[in-house]
Amino acid sequence: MGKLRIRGGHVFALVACVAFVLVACGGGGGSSGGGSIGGSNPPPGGGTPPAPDFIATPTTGTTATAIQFSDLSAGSPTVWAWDFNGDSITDSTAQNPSFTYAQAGTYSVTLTVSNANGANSFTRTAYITITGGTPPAANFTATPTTGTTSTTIQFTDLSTGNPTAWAWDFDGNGSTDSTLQNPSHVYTQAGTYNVTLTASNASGPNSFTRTAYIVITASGTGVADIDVDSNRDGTITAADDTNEHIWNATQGAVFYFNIDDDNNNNVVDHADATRAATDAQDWSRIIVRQFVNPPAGGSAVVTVSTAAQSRIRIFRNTGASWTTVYSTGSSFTLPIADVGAADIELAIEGRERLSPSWNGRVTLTLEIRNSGGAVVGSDAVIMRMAPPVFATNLWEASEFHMVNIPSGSDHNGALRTAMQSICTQGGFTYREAAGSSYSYDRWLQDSSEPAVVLLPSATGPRRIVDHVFQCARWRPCDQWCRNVLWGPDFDFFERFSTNDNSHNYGGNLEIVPPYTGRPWGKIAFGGGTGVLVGTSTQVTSRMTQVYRDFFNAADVQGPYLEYTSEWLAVGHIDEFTMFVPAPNTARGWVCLIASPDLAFSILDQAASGATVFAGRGSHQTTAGALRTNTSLRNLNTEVQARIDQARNQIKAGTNLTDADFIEFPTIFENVGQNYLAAMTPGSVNLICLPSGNNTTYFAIPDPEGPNNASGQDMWQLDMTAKLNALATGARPFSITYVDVFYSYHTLLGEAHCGSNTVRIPPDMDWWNQ
Amino acid sequence: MKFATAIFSLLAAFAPAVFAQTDVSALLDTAAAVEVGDHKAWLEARNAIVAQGEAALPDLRAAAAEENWTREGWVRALAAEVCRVRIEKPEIATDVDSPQGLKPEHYKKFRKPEPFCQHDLVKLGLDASPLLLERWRWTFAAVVFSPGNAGELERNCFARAIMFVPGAVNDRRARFALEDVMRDGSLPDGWRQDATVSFGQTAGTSGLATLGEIFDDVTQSLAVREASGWAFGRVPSTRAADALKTRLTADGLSRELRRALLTGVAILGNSGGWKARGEMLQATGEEIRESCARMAIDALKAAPEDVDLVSRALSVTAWPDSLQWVRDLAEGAESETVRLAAATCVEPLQLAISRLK
Repeated sequence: MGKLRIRGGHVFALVACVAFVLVACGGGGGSSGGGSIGGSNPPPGGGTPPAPDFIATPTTGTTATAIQFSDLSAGSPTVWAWDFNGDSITDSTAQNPSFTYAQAGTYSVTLTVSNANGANSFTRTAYITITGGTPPAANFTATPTTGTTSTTIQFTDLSTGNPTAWAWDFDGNGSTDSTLQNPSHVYTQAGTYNVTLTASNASGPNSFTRTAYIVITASGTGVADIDVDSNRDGTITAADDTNEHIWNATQGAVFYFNIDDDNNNNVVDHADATRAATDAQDWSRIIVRQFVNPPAGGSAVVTVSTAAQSRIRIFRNTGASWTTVYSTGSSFTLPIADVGAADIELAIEGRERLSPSWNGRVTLTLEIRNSGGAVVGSDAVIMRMAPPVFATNLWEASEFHMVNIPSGSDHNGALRTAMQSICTQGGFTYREAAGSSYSYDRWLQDSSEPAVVLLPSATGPRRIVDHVFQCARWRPCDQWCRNVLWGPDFDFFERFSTNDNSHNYGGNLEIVPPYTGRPWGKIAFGGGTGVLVGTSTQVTSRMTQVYRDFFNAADVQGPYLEYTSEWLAVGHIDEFTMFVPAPNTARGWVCLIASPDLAFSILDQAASGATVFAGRGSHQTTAGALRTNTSLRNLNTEVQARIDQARNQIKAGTNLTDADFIEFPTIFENVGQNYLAAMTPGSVNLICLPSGNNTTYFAIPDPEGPNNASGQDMWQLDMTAKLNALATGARPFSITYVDVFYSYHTLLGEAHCGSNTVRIPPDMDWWNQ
Repeated sequence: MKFATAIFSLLAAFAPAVFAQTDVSALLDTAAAVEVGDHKAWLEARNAIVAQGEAALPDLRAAAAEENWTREGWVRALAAEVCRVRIEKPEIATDVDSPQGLKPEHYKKFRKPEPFCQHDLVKLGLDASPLLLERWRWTFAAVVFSPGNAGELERNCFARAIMFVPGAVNDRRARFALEDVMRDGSLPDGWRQDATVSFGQTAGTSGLATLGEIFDDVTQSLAVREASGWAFGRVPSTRAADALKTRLTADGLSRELRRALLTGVAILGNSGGWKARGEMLQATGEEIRESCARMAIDALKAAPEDVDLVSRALSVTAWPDSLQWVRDLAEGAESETVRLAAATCVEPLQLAISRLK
């Protein structure tokens, strides 16, 4: 006989039997096979309560498995209550329910059956085994995160995924200090602590660590405190203390890559042996606060985070001057007596570009150590080096630059005259580089890309530093920006690749204007792998890796968008795409895109004898000759497909739709070895100058197309109509078609390629995006 | 007798054109016999003819008449045509002899500072073609290029332009010279590729057998075999479509050659090319475009890994029914790879077809 079990004050006999068979045994019930049975007293003079029993199929499974439970009870039960997970809560009242477990684990299952004569329960212990499921996602917070050795720190579990166990490591030593869900802790030693929470459920553990999260100073002494402009208001106050170790959209200090030339000595300032007095204005301030009662014989050590080491420089204001306290290594030390006497003013500059190995972040950790080297107080701040923000065609122009080619059959007098007039109308400063000083290299667009660097400022919402990014090109006019533009608050970011593949030129670098989720737009350039037009020869031609890496590291306008241009002889996206303002659209801008198909469609409407490229020697032809040129048309049909491919890549990499593309007529030709260039002056490759007077000025390469019966250029008419439809009365366009045929076009470029523009950024900050 | 000789010499000295008229045919024989690459002998022979001026033109035109451009006679016809152009259009000869785009002082002004001359030579038209063939046959080795790598770029640029231009201007006379280059295994592959494509353009249907021979010849370089696949597409005829189809469905076709044939399909079916050929050939064009679209669809099913070239062929052919064929594959093909490949073709094809309207 089995032993008696007591439940609810009533006695039943438990019978051990083989297999899962419940056997009525005298006035009670029996069970076996890991089950246990209990029941209620039968009503006086009544019959026998039902004897519960059940089985499940299957008894093992995953969180996706539906377990079917089958009632095998005897004694005609009329009510069933199932507890599938042993929490004494009824999960089902069906006779034969199905249940799917959400979490992995081993579960006991209880069935309680009853009828008019009473109730009995039967439990199968550790009956169901479920595997799989998701461990919790550990997370937590603490309040406060700084304090002294007498401060109680309250930790709060924020984990998701139904954790059932918690293991806290408050001091980063790998040992569990608490298993409570929401523990509190008092640190006994000053220091900066990593805290780890490991949360577990039946599906496994998950750990989460907050690094340098708790900063404890010794009670009764000063507080280690290093401050920066973490709230980005241009000053350092107590308000900057909160979350100064976090860099995100609302928090985090900024500093400057010091590559302007305040003393005009043709050396970037961060490399200058002797600094101009004004250079200190380019450094971001750091304050090490006074530490009251510093430990005798102690030290104040500032550690520089690993990735930033040797990539920054830190100065100390000694009153009369600034002295360098850090330029290399892992840390620097301040005299403990100085730290104990008063606040110390430091300043930081960046001296290496962004790259995959350094994203511009630096964490500075101040530790006050006693004579034995033990940390008695510490504090940490994070800063980020400002990336260049590249200009889009939507930004208001301030200066227009081009190279003067005064004589010869390829002189650019027509474009210079046109641009001088436009600059007068638009209020832009017109500047020329003397061609004679640069071997008559006219491709200023390719030499560099204009940008700005924006920094928080105490004197206004921010500080603007003009910035010119020199492209890897290695031709004479690349040096104009070095020779002329570079100076105080005008950066010169020197090329950093010797690879002069034309895909690295500035004409291949454009900025997609802002769109949803990309408030500063997106860096775009051309290149890729594809077959050359008319062949199955596969080529790969891309912007060089270090430049691509840089653009991604400067992530305000990254990650970059790359689209096909490897089929072009020069290989630049400005040969067939240009992003320009469109105030009459919801988006505010469009992408102009070259279309051979459109060019031929217009030619099809022209008189056969209508002259194209009139007066241009062997270039002169007719509409009829062009449209019946099988080879040319064949090639351009394929070019259209290639441009459509680029259009799809742009759509996929942004949020543009087909409606955002405006086609301009352009015909391409094979200039050698199956590489292409525009045969018609590439009108997309234009100059776009928005003015503060609300007019946007366009200087468009004259396509020199066929005239209609009224003597009007049919290609020009198409483009003018499309552009004017994008303007409004309040924000009109002024369109000038410029002669660039011999000055740029037959030299494989157009108006845009031969110019550059300094622009004024919109009134917003990058660090809060 | 002495007197007569003296008079004759005097006449010849003062009226060379009159005197020479009778000798044009012989001078042409001499010029045509100059060995390949013997630029000195050639220049001497050519100048002797050109020096006779316009008086030689009737004989030169006769010698360069279309019927004389045969496998046996084309060199003499070429010599005559070269001299005719040099007499009639010296400005073209100047541009061909010394292309601007090959001069460092000029091409260093280019946005990409490398030699490019091909497109300028094309614009000189049909008359540039014999002058380029002259350059190739007799004087190319004498051209002085820059030293070092720049000179190699110039040399390559010029040679490929010489091969390219006759095709671009549809100069049927050039087919024999081009065939010789195509078959010359000692020459760089790129030059032979351009010559092969130009051969397809200039030889027409009469060149299909040669192209097929090159394509099928496993002893030929892969690059030239590929180019012959492209060149099938330059022959606007149903026979070219048949040649492409036969080879696309042949057993053992390598991936490189399949991609070459798909390039030929794209060129042959090119909707823009057929539009340029005009209304007269519209029916032929439609037949061939449909055939090309079907070849591309079959290739998509057989080799979805080449979807980039299939998609190009479909888009440039832009055969209206092909959009539904591609959609059917995208939705109903047994192979998931084919379905996915087909799906990527839909959007560009749809756009290409919409452009036809």
